Amino acid sequence: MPQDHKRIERRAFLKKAGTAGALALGAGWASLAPPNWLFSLRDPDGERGKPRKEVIRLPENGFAVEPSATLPVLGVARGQNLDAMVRASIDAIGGISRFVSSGDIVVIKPNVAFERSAALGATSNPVVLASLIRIVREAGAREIRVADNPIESPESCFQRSGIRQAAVEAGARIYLPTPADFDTLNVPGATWIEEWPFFWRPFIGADKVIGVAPVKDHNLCRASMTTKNWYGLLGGRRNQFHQDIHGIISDLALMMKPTFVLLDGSRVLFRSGPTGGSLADVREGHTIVASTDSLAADAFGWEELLGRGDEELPDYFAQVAARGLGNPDWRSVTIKDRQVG
Amino acid sequence: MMKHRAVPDDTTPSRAGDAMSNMRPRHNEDRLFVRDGRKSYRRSYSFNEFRIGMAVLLALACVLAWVAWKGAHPDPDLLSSDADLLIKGGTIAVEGSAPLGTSGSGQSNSSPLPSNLALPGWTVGNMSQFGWDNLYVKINGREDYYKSFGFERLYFVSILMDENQGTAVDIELYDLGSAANALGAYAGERSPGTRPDVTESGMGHLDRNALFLTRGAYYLRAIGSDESPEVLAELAHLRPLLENSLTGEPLPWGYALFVGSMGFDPGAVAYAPENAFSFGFANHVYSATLDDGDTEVFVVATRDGAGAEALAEQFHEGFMSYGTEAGTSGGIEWVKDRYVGTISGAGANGPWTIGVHAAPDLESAVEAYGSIRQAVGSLDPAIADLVPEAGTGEGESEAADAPTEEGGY
Repeated sequence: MPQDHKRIERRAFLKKAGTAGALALGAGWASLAPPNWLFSLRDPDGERGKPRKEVIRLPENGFAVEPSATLPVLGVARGQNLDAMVRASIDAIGGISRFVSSGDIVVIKPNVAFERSAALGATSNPVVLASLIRIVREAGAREIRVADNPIESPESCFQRSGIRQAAVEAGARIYLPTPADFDTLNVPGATWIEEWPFFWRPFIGADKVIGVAPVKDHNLCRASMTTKNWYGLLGGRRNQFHQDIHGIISDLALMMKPTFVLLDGSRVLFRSGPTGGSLADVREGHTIVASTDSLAADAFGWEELLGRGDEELPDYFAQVAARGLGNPDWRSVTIKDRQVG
Repeated sequence: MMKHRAVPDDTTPSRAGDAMSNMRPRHNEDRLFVRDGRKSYRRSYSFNEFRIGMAVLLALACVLAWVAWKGAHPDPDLLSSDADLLIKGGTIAVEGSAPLGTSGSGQSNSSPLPSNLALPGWTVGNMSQFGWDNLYVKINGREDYYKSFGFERLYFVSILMDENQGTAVDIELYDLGSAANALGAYAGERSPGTRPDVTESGMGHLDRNALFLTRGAYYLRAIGSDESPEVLAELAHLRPLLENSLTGEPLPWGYALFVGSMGFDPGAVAYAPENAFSFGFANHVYSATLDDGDTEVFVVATRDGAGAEALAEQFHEGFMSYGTEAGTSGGIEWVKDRYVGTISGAGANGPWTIGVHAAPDLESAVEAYGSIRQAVGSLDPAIADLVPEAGTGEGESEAADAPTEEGGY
C-alpha cells in the first residue's frame, strides 16, 4: 500500500511543538509550583479542594447611627407608666426619628430565653416591647421583626413570656428560629465566634437593630443586660462559651453594634438568675434606659438597678472597653435622667 | 477454509438487501426513533390483556381505599404514651413542644413524680428529663449551679390551667445524688430571712408564687406563673402530695450539729460541696450564719485528727492569702481580712476541722469558735469513719495527706 504520510512544514512543526511544550510547562507549573505561587493549583493537604464555606458578615459599622456630640448617650426614664417611660427614654437620646427612617426594616431583639411568665423577670417585659414596636411603627418602619433564639422551646418561650402576643398585637412580625435560619457569621477579630452559626434570617435586608434586655442577676457572669442579650442570636452548641463567659460577652459586643438598646428595668431579677422562678427574687425597677452605648447602659444597670455599686464590675466590662466598644464609666457619659408619670 | 460474506455494493442492492429493507419498520414505527412517545406500536390489544389491566387497576383502587380507611381509623396503641413506649434504648422520648430530654448516663429513668399532680381544671403536660449532658437545653446559664451540687437528673413537667394556658405551675425536680447536696442547693436559692419548715426527712417553704422542697436527694421547685388564687391552690395541693410521695431521708449530720446541738435556725445552715469561701480545697463544708448575718461557723469531717489539722492549716493559709496575722487565741491563729477587717480562723477537734469566717472582731470570733468546738465534741465519731477517700478538689495535691470527704450523709 502506498504510504500516506503527510509532509509537515518546518514552521508548522515548530508552532505545534511550541504549543505542546507551553502546555506541558503550564500544566507542570500549575501542578508542581508551591501553593502560594501565581497560577499554582497545587493542593498538598487537600484543603484547597474543599468547598468554600459560605460566610456572612454584618455591616462593618453595624447598625449604629452617626454619633452625636450634643445628644445624651444615656436616656433614663423613671416612673410608673411604661409606655411613657419608653418614649421618654428614647426622646432623651434624640428621639426615634434619629434612629429609624421611613421604610426601614427594623429588627428588635428581646430576651425570650426562658419559658417563664414575664412577672418572673427572666425575660423582657412584653409591655415595654409593645411600646417600642409602636414607637418604631410611628417612625414609618416598613417592617418590624421580633427575633430571638431561646434556650428552651421557642414556641413555648414566646407564648409563656407574653412576647408573642405583645409583638403581634403591636404590629410586629415574629421570627422563630429553625435550623434553616442559621448561617455562619464571620466576626473579624472575635476570640470565640470568628465563624459561628448566627440566627441570620431576620437580618436579611434589615436596616436597624434594637435590643431590649431585662436586668438580671446571672449565675456565671453576675449580670445579664443589653450586651449579654445578643447571645440569643447565636446557634450551635453555644453553652460551651460559658467556659469563658466574659470573653464571649466581649465577642458579642464586637459582633453586634446596634442602632440603640433599651435596658428594661421595669423589673429586676436580682438573684437566682438568669432563670429565676420566685417572685421573691424580683423587684420593681421603675426604670427604662435607652442608650447608644450598651456598656454604659449595662454599667448603669449594675449600679442603679441591681444595686451592686459597691462591688467590682464583672470582667466583661473591662474586656469590652478594651476593644473600644463601650464606656463602662456611665457617670462620665452624657445623661438625661427624667421622672415620667 | 474461511467463508467470506459478500458485502453488497451500496450502489447495486442485492436481492437479500431488498428483503431486509422490506422487513424494516416504516420510518414512523422505528423503535429507536419514535417521534411520538405515546404512540403504541400495536393498533389493538387482546381482550385478555384488557381484563388483566382492569384487574390491576381494581387492586390499586382497593389498596388506596385501605390506606384511606386506616388513616381515618388509626391503631390507638400507636398514640399511647405508656412508659415502655417512652423509653427506648436509653433515650427518653418526649411528646409535645417541650424540649427533648435524653438520658445523660444512658440509663432510663422513670419519674419519681406522682401522677395526680393536677387539681380539677388543670392539666398535666408532657414530662421531660434532662441529664448532665443536656441540662443546658433547659436551664442554660444556671446549669453549673446545680452541677456544683452533684446534679444527676432533672425531671420537668408543666401543669397548665385549662381556662388560661398562660397560667401554669412548672415543676422542676432535681436529683442531686445526696440529701446534703439537695439541702445545699436549696439553701443557696432560699431568700435571705426565709424560715424553712423542717421535717425529719427534708425542708421546704412556700415563697409567694413558688414552692421549694427537699426530700432526700431531691430538690424540687414548683414555680407558679403568678400569685393568683388558682396558682396558690394548685401549689397547696402539690405540697403534701410531693412531701409524701418523694422518698425522704434523715437530715445530714451537719444539720444535726448546727440545728440540734447548737440551736441554729435551719435556714441559717448551708452546705458547699466544693469551693467553700472560694477555696479550691474546701469541699463538703457545712456552715451556719450567726444572727449578725455575717459571721459563719463551719465544720468539715475528715478521716482522723491528723487530717483535720492538715485541713485547718490549709484554711489558715487560705485566709492569709488575703489577710494578716491577728494573734493567737483559743488555741488557733487568727487572720484579719486586709480589705474588710473581719476575723477568720480554723482549727481541729478530733476528726473535725472547724472554724469561724468573717467575724466582726477577735472576741466574737473566739466565742463562736469555742461554741462550735464544744458542739462537735458531742458528734458521733463514727460519722468520720463514713468519710470516703479524698479525691476531688484542687489543692489536695499540695497536702496529699489532707483528707476530705465525699458524698453526703
